[in-house]
Amino acid sequence: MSDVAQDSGVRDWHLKQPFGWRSLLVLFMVLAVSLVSAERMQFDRMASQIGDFALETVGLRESSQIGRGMESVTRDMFPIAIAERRPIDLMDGLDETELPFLSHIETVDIETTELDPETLQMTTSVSERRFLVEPIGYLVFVLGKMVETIEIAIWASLIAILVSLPLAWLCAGNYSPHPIIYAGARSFVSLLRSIPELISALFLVLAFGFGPIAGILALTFHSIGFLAKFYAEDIEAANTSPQHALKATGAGTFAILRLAVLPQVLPSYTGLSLYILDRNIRMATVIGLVGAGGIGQELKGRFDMFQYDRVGTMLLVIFLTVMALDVVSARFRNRLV
Amino acid sequence: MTDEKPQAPSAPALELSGVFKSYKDGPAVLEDFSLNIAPGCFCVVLGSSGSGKSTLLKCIAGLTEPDAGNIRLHGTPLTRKRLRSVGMVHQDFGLSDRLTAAQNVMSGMAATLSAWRVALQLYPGQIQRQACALLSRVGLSEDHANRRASQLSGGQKQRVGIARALISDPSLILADEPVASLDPKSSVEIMTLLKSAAQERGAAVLCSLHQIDLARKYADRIIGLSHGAIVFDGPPAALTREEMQAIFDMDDSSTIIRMEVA
Repeated sequence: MSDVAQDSGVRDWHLKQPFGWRSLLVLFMVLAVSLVSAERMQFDRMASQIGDFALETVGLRESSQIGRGMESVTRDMFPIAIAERRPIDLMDGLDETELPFLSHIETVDIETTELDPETLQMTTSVSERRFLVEPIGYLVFVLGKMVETIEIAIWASLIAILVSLPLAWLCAGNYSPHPIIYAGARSFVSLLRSIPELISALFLVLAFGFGPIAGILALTFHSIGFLAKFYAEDIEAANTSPQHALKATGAGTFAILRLAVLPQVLPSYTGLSLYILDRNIRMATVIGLVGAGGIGQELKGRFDMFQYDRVGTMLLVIFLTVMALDVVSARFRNRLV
Repeated sequence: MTDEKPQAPSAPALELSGVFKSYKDGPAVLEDFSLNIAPGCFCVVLGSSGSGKSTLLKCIAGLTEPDAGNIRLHGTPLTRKRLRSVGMVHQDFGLSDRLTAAQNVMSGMAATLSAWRVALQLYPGQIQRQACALLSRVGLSEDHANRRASQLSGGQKQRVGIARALISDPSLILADEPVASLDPKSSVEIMTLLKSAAQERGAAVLCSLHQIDLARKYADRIIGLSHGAIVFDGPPAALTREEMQAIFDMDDSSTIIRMEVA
């Protein structure tokens, strides 16, 4: 074999190697930069805290910062709140003959001990307080909030899809009517994508007040920024053969897009739209934190009131919903694509 | 469509005069190109890759603008509206894979329909019946008609392509290497179909090919193209070995013979 190589003159050939000194240089530079960055990000503190926590768990340390923080939350979180118990005297217009479904009234005697200012002696008086107890009231309320959250996400996704379809036409380099329109549409879409939902929701809550409107709009804007860009890129990458065939029949741009481009990109559009719906449902739980409706708004309120048992209920509902949606959307995608 | 019928029967079906075309930073593909095709003539453009066959057909089909020159159809200049009386068959079939065969055929009439009909793919009954008749003419069944184009074989796809080219009742059919991606048996079937379908309608055909045997068998007239210039123009019988060499740019005539045999 070596004789063949020497004789035929291929010894002078140079084959490209998978990596060389330049790759090593880049590797060292990345390493140096990440060392500096890790120091700025307090990685050392993270390491020592996690170490302390690990020592506490195996019993070699009395307490650690993580342990104390976690304990204060988890102590109050379990058992999670399922029932709702409200004093009746604070409720207006409750018809006691027709109580809400599955609820009953609980009467509690409360002893109050106070100093009588005249006799200067401690007196105990017994007063009767009545509560309306709904055994699964809070869970039902949270599920209602979760449904509202999903509604926000579905509306936002639907509006975004409907706006993105025509917008993608203007954003696709090969079908945009004019370079100026193309540049304008592309920058508009980039702008929408560059504003995080949480920040636009913050401003939209100021404009529209607390509630789902701000949430829907915030999610819609960001979704348009995402969908229009990727819809347009699918149009640009579509196989040109059917497009040329239709153009040769004298068909106009709309007919070409509808009959030669849309059938090709439809599976990809479905995938993108399902992804956006999935993402919007997860984001809708978060943007409530700034008052834009849905379960997040309730979560933030209860968290700030240190009612961790109710926070626990909501976290569980959110977790189960997102998991269920994962399963549903995976099935849906498999059937469509 | 009556107004698009030939006004003067004596005028050539297709008339190119002084057509120039070059691509960005490249040499001229077509230079002062002129050509007349008589109505009903089956005309084959023969040439190797890069000889300008495709560019010529694309210029006529309105897929690319010639830099200069006139293209006339039955004596009137070619506009986008006039393009509807030109049918085209493509090398890679040009079908939308996820539409059914019938929908692909009917899409050939999309240019004449309103936007909402196109958007919903609601074709008028007359077009639907025409598509069925054409699909049956090209040898496909009702079952094929409702199958997605992606589920058809290469030969079946090209049959759908021919049906689409015919649905606008064209007076000129362009065929850009219609059998380049088909096996020899399908190639013969498709060429036979193309020729007979065009003859029935009295349509002229301009078909580009690189297979000499097919050109000889089907053409009424062969136009040999090399580097964008006509090097041969005449009936198949007049095509000599030397001229074939000139068309295919080869020094060794034995290669041609082997190609012919193959």
